[in-house]
Amino acid sequence: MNTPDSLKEALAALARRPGLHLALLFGLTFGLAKIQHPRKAAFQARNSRHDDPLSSLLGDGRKLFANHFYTKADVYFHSGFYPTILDNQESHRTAHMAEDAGVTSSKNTGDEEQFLGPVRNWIDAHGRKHFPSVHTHLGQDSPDGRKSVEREILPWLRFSSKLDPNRVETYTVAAYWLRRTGGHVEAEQFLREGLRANPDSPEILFELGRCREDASDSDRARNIWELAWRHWQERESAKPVEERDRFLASQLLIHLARLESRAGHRDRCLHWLSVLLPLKPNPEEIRKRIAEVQAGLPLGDTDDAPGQAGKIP
Amino acid sequence: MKVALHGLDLTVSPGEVFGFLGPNGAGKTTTMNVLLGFANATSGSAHLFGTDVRQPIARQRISYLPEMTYYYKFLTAEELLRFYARIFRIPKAERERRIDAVLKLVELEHARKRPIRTYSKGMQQRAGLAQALINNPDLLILDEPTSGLDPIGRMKVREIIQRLKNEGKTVFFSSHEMGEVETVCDRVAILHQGELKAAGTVASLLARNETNLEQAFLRIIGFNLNSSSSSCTSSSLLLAS
Amino acid sequence: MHIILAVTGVVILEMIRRKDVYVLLFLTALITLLLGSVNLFGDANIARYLKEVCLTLIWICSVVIAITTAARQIPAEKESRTIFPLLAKPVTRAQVLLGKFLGCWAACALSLALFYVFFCLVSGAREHHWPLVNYFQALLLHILFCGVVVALTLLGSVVFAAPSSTVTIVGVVVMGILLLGRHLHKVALKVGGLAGGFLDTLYYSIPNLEWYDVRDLIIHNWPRMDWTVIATDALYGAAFIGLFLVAAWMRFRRMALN
Repeated sequence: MNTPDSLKEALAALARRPGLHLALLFGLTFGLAKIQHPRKAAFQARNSRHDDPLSSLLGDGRKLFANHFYTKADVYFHSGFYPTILDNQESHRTAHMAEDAGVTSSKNTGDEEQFLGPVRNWIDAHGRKHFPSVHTHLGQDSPDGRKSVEREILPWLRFSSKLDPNRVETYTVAAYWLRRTGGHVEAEQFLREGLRANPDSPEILFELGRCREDASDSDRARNIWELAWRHWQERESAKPVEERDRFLASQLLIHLARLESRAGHRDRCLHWLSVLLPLKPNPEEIRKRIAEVQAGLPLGDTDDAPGQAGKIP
Repeated sequence: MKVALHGLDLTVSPGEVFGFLGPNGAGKTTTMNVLLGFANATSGSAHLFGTDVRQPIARQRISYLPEMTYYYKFLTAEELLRFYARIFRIPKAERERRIDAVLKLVELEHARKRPIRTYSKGMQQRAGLAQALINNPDLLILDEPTSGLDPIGRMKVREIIQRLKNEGKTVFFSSHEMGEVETVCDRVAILHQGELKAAGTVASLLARNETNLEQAFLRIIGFNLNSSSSSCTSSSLLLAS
Repeated sequence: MHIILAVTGVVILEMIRRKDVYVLLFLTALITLLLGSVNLFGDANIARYLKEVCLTLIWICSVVIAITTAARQIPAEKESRTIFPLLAKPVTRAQVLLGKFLGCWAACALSLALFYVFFCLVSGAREHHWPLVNYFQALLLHILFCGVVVALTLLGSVVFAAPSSTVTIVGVVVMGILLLGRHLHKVALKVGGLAGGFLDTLYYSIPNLEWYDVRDLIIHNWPRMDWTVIATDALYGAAFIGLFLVAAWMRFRRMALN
């Protein structure tokens, strides 16, 4: 039999069966994908920063969204009563959820109930009946009177962390509110996730220490806080004195001092308080505490360490 | 400004089948638009059954079949007829009876539940005829009713027109099909460049040496007339008064 | 009235037979359920973000449905020449316009009812709590909002040449009012002068569509609104609907149909 003839017959038979066409094409594309896959994986490994689909999609714009979602969490903290960009935002420069969590010092001024200003006209007056117009914080005085609804802010913090893993505040705020709503394990997991994205972050380490403290794991809490303090020193020493993050330093040191006081290590407690002294603009309270500890009294709550979010039962 | 109609004075009697002829652009559709209230005459008046055409009630006893039309594609023929029947406030039982009768007349019974978008051109034309008959009108205004139909379709339309005439209805229609007009019309009017050139029975329009309407038509409209332009003025149109 | 209702019925039938609403409902459900399946710190009772996502999608869909349905009514009738056999009946252009308006509005209301039932199910599954009166108030206001938008779109459809222009322009206007309407007066005071005067005139002239958006009250479980507020909103909305429809009629009655 002639080879060209048999080939022609085969092609003619093929032409009569479109299903076979599809199967052959599918096989071809599948084979090509298999061949290309190792090369693509190698390329992605070299450019791992772009592996995240959100990074690929949004680029650096994802930080804008992250910021928006972070603010959204604070909006939820206020049950929707929140200034827009066209309202007076002086009383909301620092997120109240972060302020209440004690993870940052407040830059807020002005009356947080009056950002809308006085009623301007009948349209404004009637319009205010259609959106939240009373200042509340979730949990304390939620509009529906239900407790433990602080968790409603968590999704936005979660989304914010996905979009901007390098925003440390997201982790610390979320961890605080997770602990408040009984999610101690989740808080710790989230903080560790934050630590992977922000190695040696003293803020995250501080919060992690608080998780361990809540779990009555004082030794580990101590170790983590001391590590956080070392990292704070490494990071802040390069800055001018007036720009250093004294708020975090105060928190770290007072928590260490209180931990040592509870453990009965008076010398260590006094050591931390003495390190804290030069960092405080008004050191009188610290001097008082030092005197109390020297007199043998335990170190009580201070402004920097008002209490614990919630111990694990 | 172009004149669509000038000095048109026409009366159609009850029970007549009246053919309205003219070349393209003569003003036939404009006349119908004025009669139906789609366009306003700049002067003059038009009446249907003694009622000014600008009153919606003037259209209570008439129906209209446009030359080219596409009905609501998502409706079935039955739903279309039901919609129009509701407009005329036909009671429900009577409505259903008429829908059945009209669909049978136009031979669309088999397709009554199919959406109109699945219809052929001929079927759409028949659906149009059906909607023109649903309210049992005294006057039908048909704009080229056989346009686009095959010979069988045209024959059926002629039969329907004849049947309507036998029932005492008045039919006013425009057409380019001279043979058709000759067969069914009692009287015709010939329009050219917005002016009424002739009106009367077919026999009265034929000159001595002419044997059919087409010859008379071509003579009447002429070939050497210049086109003119002015606005639609001084027309008076009376139908079926 | 029977003529208006007949036209209304045809519009509703059209909406039911087009696939737009079902596609939008499906997408809303899909996105909501996908986001609802995200594991958020192992807490299955977090509800408000899901309510917000669902309601935002519902609002987007309602604007799309209202504008696209209304924008194509009159132009489609003219383009397909179905306006001729309709107006050849004892029907006035005002009745056609009113019928189209009621049909589009009813179509929006029916779609919204479906969407809100879905929303009730989603929020109830999470919160185990059904403030039905609150949801009903939100639905009522949302339907009123759609009424104003439909009337505005119908006006646009008889002013602008193509449905796409109407959709774009009305869409921009509606979104602009929703986002910025409340702040125009503030900005006018800051800016001052002629521009401020213009902004102020705009502020007092435009329909305050943001009144009908009470999502924040629903999401954050605020107490129900006073019924007098809703009645006032209804009257306000009715006034604008009347205004837009009268303007549309004045334009439509003189419009050439070819």
